[in-house]
Amino acid sequence: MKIELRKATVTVNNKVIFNELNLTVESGEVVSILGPSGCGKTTMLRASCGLASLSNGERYLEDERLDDNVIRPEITMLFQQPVLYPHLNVAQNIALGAPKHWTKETVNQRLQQVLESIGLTDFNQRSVGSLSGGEAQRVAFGRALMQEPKVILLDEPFASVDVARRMELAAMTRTHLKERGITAIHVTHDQDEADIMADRVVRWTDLQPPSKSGEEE
Amino acid sequence: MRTSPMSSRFLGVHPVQWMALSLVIALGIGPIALAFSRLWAVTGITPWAALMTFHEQPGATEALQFSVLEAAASTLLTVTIGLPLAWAFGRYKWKRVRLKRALLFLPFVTPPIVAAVGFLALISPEGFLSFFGIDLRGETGFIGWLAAKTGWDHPGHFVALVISHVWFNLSLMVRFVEPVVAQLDPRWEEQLALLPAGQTRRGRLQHLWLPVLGPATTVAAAYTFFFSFTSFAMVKWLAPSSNTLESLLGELGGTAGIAGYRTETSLAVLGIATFQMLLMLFMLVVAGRFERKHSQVLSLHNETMNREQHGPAPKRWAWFVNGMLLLLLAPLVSVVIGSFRVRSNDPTNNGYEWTLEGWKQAWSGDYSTVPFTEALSNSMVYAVMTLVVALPLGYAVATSLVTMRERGHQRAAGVLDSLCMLPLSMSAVMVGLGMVAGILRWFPQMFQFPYLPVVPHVMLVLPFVIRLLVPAIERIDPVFAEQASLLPMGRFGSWWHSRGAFLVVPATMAGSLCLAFSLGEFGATFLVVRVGSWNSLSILVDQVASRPKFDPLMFPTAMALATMLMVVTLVVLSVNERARAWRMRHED
Amino acid sequence: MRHVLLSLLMLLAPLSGCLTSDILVVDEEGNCQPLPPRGDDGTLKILTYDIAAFSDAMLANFTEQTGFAVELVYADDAGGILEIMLQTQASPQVDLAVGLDNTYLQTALDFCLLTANNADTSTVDPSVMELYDGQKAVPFDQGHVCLNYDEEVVDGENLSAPQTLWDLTEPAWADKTVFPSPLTSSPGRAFMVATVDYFENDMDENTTAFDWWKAMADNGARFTTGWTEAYEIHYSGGYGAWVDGHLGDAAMTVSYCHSPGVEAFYGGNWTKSTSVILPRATFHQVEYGGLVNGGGNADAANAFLNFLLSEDINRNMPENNLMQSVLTNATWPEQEGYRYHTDIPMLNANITTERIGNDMAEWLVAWADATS
Repeated sequence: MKIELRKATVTVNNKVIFNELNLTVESGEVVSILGPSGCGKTTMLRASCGLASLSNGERYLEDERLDDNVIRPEITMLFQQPVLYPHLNVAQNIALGAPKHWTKETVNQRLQQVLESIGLTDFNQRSVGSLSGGEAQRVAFGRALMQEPKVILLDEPFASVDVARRMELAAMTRTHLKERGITAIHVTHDQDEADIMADRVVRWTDLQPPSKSGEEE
Repeated sequence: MRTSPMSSRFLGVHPVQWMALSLVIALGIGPIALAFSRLWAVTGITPWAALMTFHEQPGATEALQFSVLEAAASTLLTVTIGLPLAWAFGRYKWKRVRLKRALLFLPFVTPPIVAAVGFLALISPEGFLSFFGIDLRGETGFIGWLAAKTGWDHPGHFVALVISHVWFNLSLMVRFVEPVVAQLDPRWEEQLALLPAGQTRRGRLQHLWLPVLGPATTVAAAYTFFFSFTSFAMVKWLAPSSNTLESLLGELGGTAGIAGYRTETSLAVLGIATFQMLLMLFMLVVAGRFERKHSQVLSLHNETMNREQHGPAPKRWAWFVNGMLLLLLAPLVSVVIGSFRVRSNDPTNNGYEWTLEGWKQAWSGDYSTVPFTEALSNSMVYAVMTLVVALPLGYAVATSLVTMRERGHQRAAGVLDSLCMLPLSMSAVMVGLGMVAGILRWFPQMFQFPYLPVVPHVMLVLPFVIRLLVPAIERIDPVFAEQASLLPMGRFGSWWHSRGAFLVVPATMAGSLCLAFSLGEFGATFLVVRVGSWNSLSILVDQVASRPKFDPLMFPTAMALATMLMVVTLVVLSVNERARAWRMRHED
Repeated sequence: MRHVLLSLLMLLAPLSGCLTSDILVVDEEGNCQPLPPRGDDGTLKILTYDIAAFSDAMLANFTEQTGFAVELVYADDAGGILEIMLQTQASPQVDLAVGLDNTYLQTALDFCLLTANNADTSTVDPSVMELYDGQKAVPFDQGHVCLNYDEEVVDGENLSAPQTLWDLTEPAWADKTVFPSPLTSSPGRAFMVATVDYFENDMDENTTAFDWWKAMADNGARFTTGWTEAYEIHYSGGYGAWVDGHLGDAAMTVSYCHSPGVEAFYGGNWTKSTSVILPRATFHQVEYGGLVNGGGNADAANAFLNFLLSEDINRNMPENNLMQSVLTNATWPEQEGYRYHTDIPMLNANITTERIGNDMAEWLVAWADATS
């Protein structure tokens, strides 16, 4: 699915986070957006999935204009710090991504497949509190895969992982995305990571008209 | 398609939550407004004008002085003992921690009459303290010398009262402070230890413990002050020569608000109650502002891992905590002993014999028209109903306040928060008067309602439920809700995983408060004018214990009933601790 | 803070006057108007204080005999009964009030809280009916309120029994007396009434009861909220010595002239408590039951009053209720020294129930002023 932001502006407390930002990501494309910390990338991702409001501009999914703050089930997001529910184990966290109409058998089947694909086959019953940063992010990614989304937004997903593992995870993630034809917007400040992940790397500053970029609060 | 979590409402709050807020505030304000209105009508004098006559009311100024002094002393001593107790209890690994926690909480929910009897046994001339040469009751020995030397009127009674207040309120300190200590991220301490400021104990106190524990301690201290200031039953039993404003109101309250009868009493109650309410409101607002100003979101850590890291308590702390537990149990043990001890009829022997007769009488109900089993079942029904009403109401209000603050409506949230805390500032006498007046006027059939006592129980426990849940909700990272909105979950699933599961522990704590408060009949005094036969276990204990004790079996029977009440309360509290343990197991 | 106060005032203002109009039960000529009854629901609701006589067995007996179920609503004491009746007079919640004594009865009558009953009082002693013989209240027990003292302290050597009330104001009695307050205690109130009559009839025309009360306060007399506190905690002559928290710092208190008898009855025919019988310093207290104006279940209520006056129940008042029967030729039990240790006054205070009703408010204010 194609996702677009057209002349998107977000202002918070009279401070412009980004102004008239234009971004088009074609169906199945993986785009990495490169920019320094605090420039507004996270807000842009949040606005893309409906967690943040646009002060101006529009958001499109497959050429259909989406109202502000509407969250579509086809879009999901991986936060910078993996958001795993501490009262659930690994399998239960991943299973949260299962669509509601799946039967129990289907959920279990897909769960095993996902665990295998993210390399955490023996981690079913593990408490999420005992996972390393990389393992936790893989679980979060696994949950996103369970959802079978059309669009994934990745907010510096490997920031809490060491350099060596980061590249490995980036490669793994790209493989999964391309296999499934998932459209992805990936934000990072790491050039190498962007190169591994993306079909196309875009600089944050190129998304907006000149001299109008803001800072994220 | 779903909207994102923070869709717009009025001030961010859903209409259903507004209804809950309005109900809670009305429940708090309604009776007190009715009472003032009634007294105003009967006396023809406004509350403000009556306030100006405060100093003329017999005993009012003395009662105010006494209230302030004993409440201040009680609070100071509670903080002095309670803070290190809570700190040690929260920091280290303890054996049988659930039982200890339940025992720590037991004093808070013990009916005052049971506690009073227990304390009297300890402080009497032949009681436990007499082994140390301390006679707080008869004020002989050292206490008598102190009284003579200083001219202090009844220092022994004052000390006994303060100790009883500390006994009641230590659990408050532990309840508020211990979770903060237990869940504090150890990196705060570790980082400080590497800095110059953290090299001394004073430095650690100044830069870590006081800032971290300050808000929780302030809240607990404020509540301690409120409860001590409005002390009623304990004053009458332990310091019979003195009055707090509340006990003074209790003496006058029965005849107040009756047109054409003892109008001077109505005027006295109006003046004193107005004064007390304004004073308490002021303190509530100040405490609330302090708490909000110094509140901070602390990064939370797994409690079990923290305790493992710090290990078992060093000997001196173990002695301190276990010693305090024993001391806390002492009055209650006296009650149990009293249930087996019957005075001997031998005129030459001021002695006792040991027998089960009191227990037999208690069980068979010969001394009252309500058998124990019926009173117990009434108590349990009231308790469960209090829980069923207060917990959801309290949750709805807590989430409203949190949402308002998150949306930037601090002032509105502050005002509404204060209004929800009103019952803490109100005189039981006034609430009772207002309730009777209001119900009689508009809903007289309510007096036939068998569950009417649940209303004052809910009214009193709600501020605590709200105070427990608000910080618990504020501590939940909002990202969990955002993540949930992006997952294919239904409404309930989304709520449960992003909020509900995190509130299991505070909700069970709040729930146990609801149950225990109701069992202890804290709201009983609210129905000062009893117009129904709502016989609960606590009322049964009170009834039998207050009878003339010509019959030697009367007292042990009352103590047997009191013991049964304590056991029931302890079981209820233990259930709470099991729920907390469940939560911690799932987080390991 | 401002918002909170404003909110409160806004709530108070429209409510002022909202609760002023109580239902008028007294017409322009001062006659009582009956309130519409609250209806018959088969359960007789009795407002009483914690009367020991109303045991499970006794009430079951009544139900068995009459078929009427009974539910008790408890006030703290006789004064509490009156207060509850006054507070709820607009909409009574009970059918029968049992336990008002003759220091409260007139007020109840003046406020039209009671309505006529049809109980049979033919077996009641005429001396009891003298105090009130109307149709609205039925006596069911009686006693004499008087001073009790500890014989071990007041032994005739260190301290002698008073010959007049003024003796208690002497230094020998300093800090040794305790009185339940007439503001909050029924026996305290009764004793205060007795002192009014006592000092109106003594040789000294210049002093009143309240001069005496002031002198007592100046001499260290203690005043407690209720009888229990005075008797159990402070009085050294009674069972209080076995009660935790007992102070025993008073050798003299107010109780009943038969309290020493009760002490002996439960104490194996032994007590160190005895009564002071001074002319007019005792009060003949009678307790009443009456149908509540606006109450229901009238048949059940009348049946209960008759039940209270029945031989089986009323003759056993001394054992079951620690008070004397009101029936003719009532006696105290002989067992365990009950009768032996009970004193019977020769001359009680002579103040009518009507006067008590008229003057009580004034007396209470005077007493509070004198003892503050």
